[in-house]
Amino acid sequence: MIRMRLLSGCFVLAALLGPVTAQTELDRLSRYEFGRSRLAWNTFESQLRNPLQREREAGERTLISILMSRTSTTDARMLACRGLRYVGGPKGIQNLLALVRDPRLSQEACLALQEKESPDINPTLREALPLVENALKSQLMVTLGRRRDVEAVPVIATIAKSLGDKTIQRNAIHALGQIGGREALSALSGLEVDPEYKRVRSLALLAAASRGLEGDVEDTMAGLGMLRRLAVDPALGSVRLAALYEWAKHDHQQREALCRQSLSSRENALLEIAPKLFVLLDRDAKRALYEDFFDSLSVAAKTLLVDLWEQEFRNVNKLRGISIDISGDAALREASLRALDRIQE
Amino acid sequence: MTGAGVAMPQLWLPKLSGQEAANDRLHVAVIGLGKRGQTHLKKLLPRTDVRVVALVDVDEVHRNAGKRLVDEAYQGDEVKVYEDFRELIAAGGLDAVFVTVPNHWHALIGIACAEARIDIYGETPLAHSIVEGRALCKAVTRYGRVWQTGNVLRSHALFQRACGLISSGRLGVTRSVEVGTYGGLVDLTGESKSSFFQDAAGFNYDFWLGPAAWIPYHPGRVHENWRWHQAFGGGRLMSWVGQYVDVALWALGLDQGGPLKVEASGEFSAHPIYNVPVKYAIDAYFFNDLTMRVSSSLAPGIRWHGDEGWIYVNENQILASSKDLLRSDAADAWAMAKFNERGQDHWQDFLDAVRTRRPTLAPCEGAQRAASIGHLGMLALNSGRPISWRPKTETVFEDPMTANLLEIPMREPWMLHD
Repeated sequence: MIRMRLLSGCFVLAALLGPVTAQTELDRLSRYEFGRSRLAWNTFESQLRNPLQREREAGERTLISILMSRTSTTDARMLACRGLRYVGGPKGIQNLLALVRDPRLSQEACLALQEKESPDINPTLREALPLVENALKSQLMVTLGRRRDVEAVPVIATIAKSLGDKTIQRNAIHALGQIGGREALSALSGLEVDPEYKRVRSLALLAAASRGLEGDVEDTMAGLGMLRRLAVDPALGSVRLAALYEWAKHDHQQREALCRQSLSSRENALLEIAPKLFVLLDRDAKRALYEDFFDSLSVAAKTLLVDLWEQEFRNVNKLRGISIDISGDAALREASLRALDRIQE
Repeated sequence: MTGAGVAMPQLWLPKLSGQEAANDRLHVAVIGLGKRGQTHLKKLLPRTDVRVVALVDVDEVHRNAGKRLVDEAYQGDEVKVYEDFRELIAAGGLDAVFVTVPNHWHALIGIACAEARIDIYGETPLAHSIVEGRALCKAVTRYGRVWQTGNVLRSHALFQRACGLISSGRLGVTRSVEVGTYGGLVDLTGESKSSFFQDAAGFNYDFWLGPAAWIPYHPGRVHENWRWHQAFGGGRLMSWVGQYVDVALWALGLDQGGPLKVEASGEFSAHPIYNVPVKYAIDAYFFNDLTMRVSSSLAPGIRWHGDEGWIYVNENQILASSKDLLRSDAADAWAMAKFNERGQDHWQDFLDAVRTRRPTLAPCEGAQRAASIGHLGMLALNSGRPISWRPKTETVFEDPMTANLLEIPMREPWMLHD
């Protein structure tokens, strides 16, 4: 009887203390300041890592409580945003969206939202864009860019055209490149920029064109068109090389011609890109290049081509093995013999 | 010799030997002058085919230490010193850079150098996330750059021999690989118990943080100890994954692909200022029924298990389940050549590649695939659930919540170009 009473007493005590313990834990978490021990947060974060969905949902509820509590420190709310990046479901997303205009927490909220899937995120970020300034505006644009929100193109393009803060203009150009596709390409093409931002714009055009190649037929056509234009403009420096590579990668018909063109070039930059273009070719194209084209090349390109051919077969010993393998392809045998001759020369 | 603007300076020089004319030297810079950066300097300064022309670090103490080393070696010849790597790139005239910075900076600096047509020697792991690593590989390819990953184990004779043996099929079909790494964490600078609110004079902490999530300055979280906080590194797991896992995959010809599933279990540090895993076991499952275990409780090194037995290698020894498996065999020479034909000097291999434009022994793609095992392991540890992975597209299968974590968001104004 006494044992029964003790047991029931324990249950009552546990029932009373349970919420108190939870409350204490919440207090400890919400009073956290950078520079103090992180022990409470380390323990709590192990709950967020728990494979059980139930535990993770409990973790999300705690994080939301920290965000909503008036007594929470800014540092604790910052960590709560970071935690919601891991476990934030629809409720967590709504709470993060409420912070996108908060001067102290906007950045953390945007970072947590960057990869989340929810139909509410992009419209909320777009609506907030005209209402914020400076770093917040940049952060919102970059987030919309990473989320590839095509509907944000008009509003970001307007900001990119404005002649106000140059950092904001630069971020707007970058965000348009990240969104990609024909709309962004069109906005970027029509943009007048200061000479110091020409490279930022050409990088954005390259990114927009490359991203367009992952889209529908119209985006692909617009992307390829832009890559062609960028690839022939010597004023663009290294961006031209990247455009040439992307063009060759996505245009099967032009690939071999582009490789030949870069091998024939007297420019270091174009020769440097030739090995990367050569790797994209199929075996027949590589062989044709070697057999038909070799003699017309400069010494530099010849050396490169022999080296690439050698790499194809790993080493000279293997090349020798192929050249005497009577069960193999006759043309390949002949080519490997010629490659060996040239290497020995 | 400079990289840009001269008719045909960089390409196709014959291999250099002995004393060279000063203008035939490659012009290089070192970005990050901590312990590793100074190791690079000590390797580079005695060479006659290389000229260290610039140094970069955000810490004045490191900059001065690096400059002292160069001044002593070159007898007072002027070396340019920068705090901001962008100024170095803008100054031009570089053939190659050696980048030894914390993980969260790897991709941004690598991409910026590639865009400026500078060849790069970068440390492991390749980048701080799979998305950053892919962007870096893309930049290296599309700008036609030479890249060497600083996994010197690829140039280590014992590891090369082990790879040759595995590649020649000495074990029959390889069924599993065990990769032992060190666990725990060690205070490498003795600052872990220092207090916050200390003066970081001469150290540009905001620039050092760069794209990482903002956390307050603590002397125990910078310099060598950055690796114990997930904002900057991944503990010993990420420090070793680019070394042992890279070689384990290289031997099996899997350094262009990846696992289909990754599971992990472990413990995170309870230290007040660090948060990396200190004990872990990561299991990766590949397409051909091959399994790989990366664990902090296994002996450091790599052990391949096959139908015919096992082969184990670390920096000091190579062992096997029977002596027969380690015998020298002329028939294996071909398989061996793939691994050891470039010799055992990792720096020389990179510099030769810069001159000849051939790929290096440790290209970007292999480093990305090795680092991916660690990143996926970290992700599985952090999210608490197994990850189904599609290596070809580098995407997480049927788990949007985890898929969202592949990319680490960057703090404004830093942005990833892709």
